Amino acid sequence: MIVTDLTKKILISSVFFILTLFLRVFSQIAPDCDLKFINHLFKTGYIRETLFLLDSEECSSFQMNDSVNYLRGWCYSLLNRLESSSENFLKVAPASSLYPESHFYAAYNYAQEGNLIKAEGVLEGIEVCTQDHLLLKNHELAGIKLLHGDLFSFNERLSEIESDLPEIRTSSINLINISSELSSHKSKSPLLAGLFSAVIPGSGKFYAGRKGEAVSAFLSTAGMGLVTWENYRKNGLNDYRTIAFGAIFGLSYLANIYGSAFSVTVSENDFKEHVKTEVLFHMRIPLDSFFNK
Amino acid sequence: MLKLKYFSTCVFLLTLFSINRICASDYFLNALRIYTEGRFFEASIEFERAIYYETDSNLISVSKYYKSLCYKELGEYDKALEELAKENMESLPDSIFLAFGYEKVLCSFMKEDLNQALFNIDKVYQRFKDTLRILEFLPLNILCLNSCREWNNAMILWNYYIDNSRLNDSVKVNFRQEVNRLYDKKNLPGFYFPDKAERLSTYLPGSGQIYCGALPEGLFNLSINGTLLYYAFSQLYNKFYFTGYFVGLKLFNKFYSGGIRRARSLALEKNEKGIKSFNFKNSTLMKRLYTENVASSH
Amino acid sequence: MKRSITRRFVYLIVLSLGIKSFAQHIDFKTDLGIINKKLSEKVPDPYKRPYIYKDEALVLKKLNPVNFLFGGALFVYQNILSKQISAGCLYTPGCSEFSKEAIREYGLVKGIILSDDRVHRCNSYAAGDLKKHKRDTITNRYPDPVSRYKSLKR
Repeated sequence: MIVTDLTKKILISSVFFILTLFLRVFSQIAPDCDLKFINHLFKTGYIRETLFLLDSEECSSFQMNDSVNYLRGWCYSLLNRLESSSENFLKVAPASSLYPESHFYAAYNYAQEGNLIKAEGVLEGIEVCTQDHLLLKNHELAGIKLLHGDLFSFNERLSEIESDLPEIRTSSINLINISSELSSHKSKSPLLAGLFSAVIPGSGKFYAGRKGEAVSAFLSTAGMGLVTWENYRKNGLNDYRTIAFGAIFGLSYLANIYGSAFSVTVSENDFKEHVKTEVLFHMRIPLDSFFNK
Repeated sequence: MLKLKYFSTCVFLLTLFSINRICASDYFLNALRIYTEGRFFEASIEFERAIYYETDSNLISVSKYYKSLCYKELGEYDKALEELAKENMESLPDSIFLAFGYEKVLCSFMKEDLNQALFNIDKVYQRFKDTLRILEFLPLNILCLNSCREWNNAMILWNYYIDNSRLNDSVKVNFRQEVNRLYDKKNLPGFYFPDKAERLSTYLPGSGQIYCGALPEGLFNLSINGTLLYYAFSQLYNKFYFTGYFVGLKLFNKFYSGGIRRARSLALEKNEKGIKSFNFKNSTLMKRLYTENVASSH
Repeated sequence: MKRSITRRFVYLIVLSLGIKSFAQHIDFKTDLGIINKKLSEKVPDPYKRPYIYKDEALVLKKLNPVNFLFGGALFVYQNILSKQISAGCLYTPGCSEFSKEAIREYGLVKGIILSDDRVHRCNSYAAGDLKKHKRDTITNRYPDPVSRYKSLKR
């Protein structure tokens, strides 16, 4: 059979075609942890989807575990599951470049949850290699002392920070302001608030700092008191109306005393919550600026 | 030799191009497979992967469309609309434009955003002015018009829909009669003006509720207000000033102003219920027409 | 492998011919089903709330006449009277729900006293003491859970 030029060309092109096809068919998309795509999902705000892929089998056995754990930590943090977030952040190995950031944020998450001992433990355990990291660590530890309410240790820690870093300097000044607010704060007594309200309805709430509630408590209790007195004066003690209005007045009066005592507790708890929020805020800002978040 | 080299290079590049196209669409195929298996959350992720890796603009548009279908199946109409909004519809070919437009209208309707639904319907009609390709949009358009209480326009569309179906003439006549019966004045849902209900309750407590068809509630409200007012005035008349004011008038004020608010909210509630049940009757009729249409075409 | 190669070639042909068959993808029947489901679903009545001791295991607690009196009064208020008042509560949970939860958590006496205090706080005078940043942007109410009133200890 004479093999012409054209036949040769067709044969060669077919061989090429089939070879390339085989190569591409065999090099199908093997299931693996597609970190490039996962990062894209995370950056575009698909957090649940990112977590779904990170929790898949392919990523669990992926060699670049540190990146996976780091991303998982951030996903849980954004979903407000702080415990899981910290757990994943802490899995990042010291050899990884993501180690300082992960461990600092793990400590912050523990502090946010109220687990201050764990937060302190994580911070103390961070292996710092640069001066800036050391300053940041001391700042965060100072914040935790303030969350404990331990002003002496806070001042001690703060004296170790003489930072030229603007991120830390401003936040440190704010923490100092918060500590002076804490030291000058006079806590109020629920018993005293109750006693005040027993004498003048609503005055206990005024003492607790709730002026509006004080006015409404005074008006409602006084109103019921006047109604009871009027019925007592005109109908006598044994009349059902006097008894009914008297019972309602008694309940209002008791509620006013009890409510005043609780309003002091609630106000104090609100103040503590406010201080905690402020301290956490000023612990977070240096972290975000330092790690460019 | 040079000719052979040139020829082989061309074939090789052509092969690579076609194979690349096939393999890039692996992501899309994989996503489609997961979608048909009913795993919509995973499918949405895989369609996003196809969007991320794919270079063919048509395939990207199709992936976005399917991704929005995934969200629709999961009941996340907001996300579905967000996904559809990422595509510039004007630049799409006709078939994809129709599919996008349809999903936008459906998701807007499910979100109860009638303005957006009607706006998208208008967009589709502008592009396909006189073609029969807009038939798929007519049922949703009818439901939206019903929600806006535009009964005449809805009836016109119903008749157009029936006329352009593949049914026999006799069946068409039956459907037209049913539609006429549905849109008969006595079968249309009533409308209660919330302002009127409020005003009525202001002049006479409970009358707003009675106007909205809640007779027992209206009478109950009237009796409570009457009793409290009587109590307040009788106490004041008998020189029980504090009791009359703090108990009688304060309680009367609470029930009186509450009754006015209730009348308004009741009117709005009844209007919404009426439209919902009317639209349900419409959609049941549409389902029957659609089934018979499909049966006729076979 | 042969099937996957065939599938890929078929796909390539379909793709190169264009996506003309796309409009037929509109699955109107299924969509009508979704629409029907939405139109027929019943919106729960916010004024229908259960009796406080409905799921109570202890029979003694359930049949106690004092509990029955107060629980019954609360039931009548929530299901009949509250829609007549149509009051918008400042706080979440609402005052009657707060009352229910407080009685369940802390017992009848403390629950009633706390409820009375809550009712006295739920007005425009007391609203001035509330911090705007704590308001829930969706419900437009201020959180005031029952757990705040567990103990007087800070």
